[in-house]
Amino acid sequence: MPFVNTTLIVDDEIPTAAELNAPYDDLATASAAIDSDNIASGAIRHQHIYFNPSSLYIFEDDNSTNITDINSTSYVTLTRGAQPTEIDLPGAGLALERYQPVRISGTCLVTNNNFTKTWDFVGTDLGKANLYAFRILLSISTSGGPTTTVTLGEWGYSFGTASSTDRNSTLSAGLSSTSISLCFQTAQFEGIYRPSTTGVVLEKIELQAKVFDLANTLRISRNALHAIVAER
Amino acid sequence: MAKTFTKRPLKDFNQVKVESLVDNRDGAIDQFNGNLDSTQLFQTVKVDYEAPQTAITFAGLVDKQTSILPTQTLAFSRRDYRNTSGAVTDIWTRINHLNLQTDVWNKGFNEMTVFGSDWSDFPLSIECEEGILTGEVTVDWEHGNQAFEVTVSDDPPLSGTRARGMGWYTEWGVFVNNVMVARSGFIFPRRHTTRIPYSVPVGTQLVTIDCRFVVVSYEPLPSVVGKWSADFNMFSATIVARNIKR
Repeated sequence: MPFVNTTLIVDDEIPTAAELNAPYDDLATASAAIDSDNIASGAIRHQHIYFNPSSLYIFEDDNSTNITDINSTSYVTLTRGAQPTEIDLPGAGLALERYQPVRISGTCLVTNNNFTKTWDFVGTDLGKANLYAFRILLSISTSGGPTTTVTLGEWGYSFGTASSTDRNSTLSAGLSSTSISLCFQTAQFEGIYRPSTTGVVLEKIELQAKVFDLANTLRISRNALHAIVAER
Repeated sequence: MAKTFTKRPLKDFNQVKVESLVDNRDGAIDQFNGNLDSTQLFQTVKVDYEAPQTAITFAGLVDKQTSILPTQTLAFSRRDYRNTSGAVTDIWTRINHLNLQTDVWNKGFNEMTVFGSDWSDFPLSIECEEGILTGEVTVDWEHGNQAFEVTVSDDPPLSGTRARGMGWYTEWGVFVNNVMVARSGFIFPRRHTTRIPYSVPVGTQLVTIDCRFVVVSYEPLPSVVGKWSADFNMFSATIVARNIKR
């Protein structure tokens, strides 16, 4: 921990500009190198009770071309070439305290989807062909046990506008569907993960997506994951 | 005229001095240097207090959790298909809905309890300390288009319902203690996950955060039987709140 000295200026002494500025200059310099060592005796400050000051983890893909098409009815991780959209936490993972929250957000730009099947007209799946969904998946282990996965949340969107009456009316009298394709819109969502026990290690965070119907293809370009660990 | 300032020393219990420039500077530097003595503590430092604490935590029709840390409190309230006791098992199926054909939902912002009592525990209440309250609401919803009956000249003529109405839309708002602090703007009918960030200064007080919505659909009476929008569907909602303590 750096220590900032101040110049003692006694009565009737006229300080120079350099003397007046010195503590502020020193403070600006020292602020860049704060660590947990304290050279003042019997004192404590916020920095001394940080267990892990590094609390922000990011994956950002700012490439404007599309990633690998998503054409699966089960969740697959967004992938550009061999690079998945994931935060692989360093080392063996991030050890969380009990009740220590992690805010995790995902975002992406949905682009020129291939939207060919707008509605199902039979059964219990009316309208669902129009849908795609995202998921944030966490890989965690507890007390050295095996790695398991936790779904932080799932969030849905539609390829096109929602249709009209009961979602299935547009086939009447031979007229086809009227859903309007909605391309180039952002998707964004967030949740909080918070372990209720000790010994939880957060190992990996993945952004995944799926479609309801294989006839439609979800296309994405830019995408990102952010994880912020709440510190004391 | 010379400027005058209210003189407030950084150290409590010290006498207020008119010429306190150096005192205040020294106080700030002392704090940086770690000299937090009994009159200059930023918080009561106790190990058991420093560990993250929890307040209301329950899971059922709503998941609601709060973590209290010395400098911030984080909390969330969430309801999705996992809170339906198995009634809904996937992301494709709505968990609640409104029938737009039988009532009017554009006369003001509707609370989530209009979907039913399952949402009564959804608003997030936390004991804030003076500072900033920030966070966001994420809602996953679906609104159908306005529908029209059209006839295409043919032999015989074709007729059917078309979804091309431009005047139907949805808006979401975030309310803190019944005051709207953020709104989404109008969103054209679709299934959409809408995320609305908010930030508002708070005192040391109990704060309740919830989200509400307006569904604008003209012609609320079924002038053409069976030609109405699909239901307003709800899939999930999450409130995230972070109280950053001054």
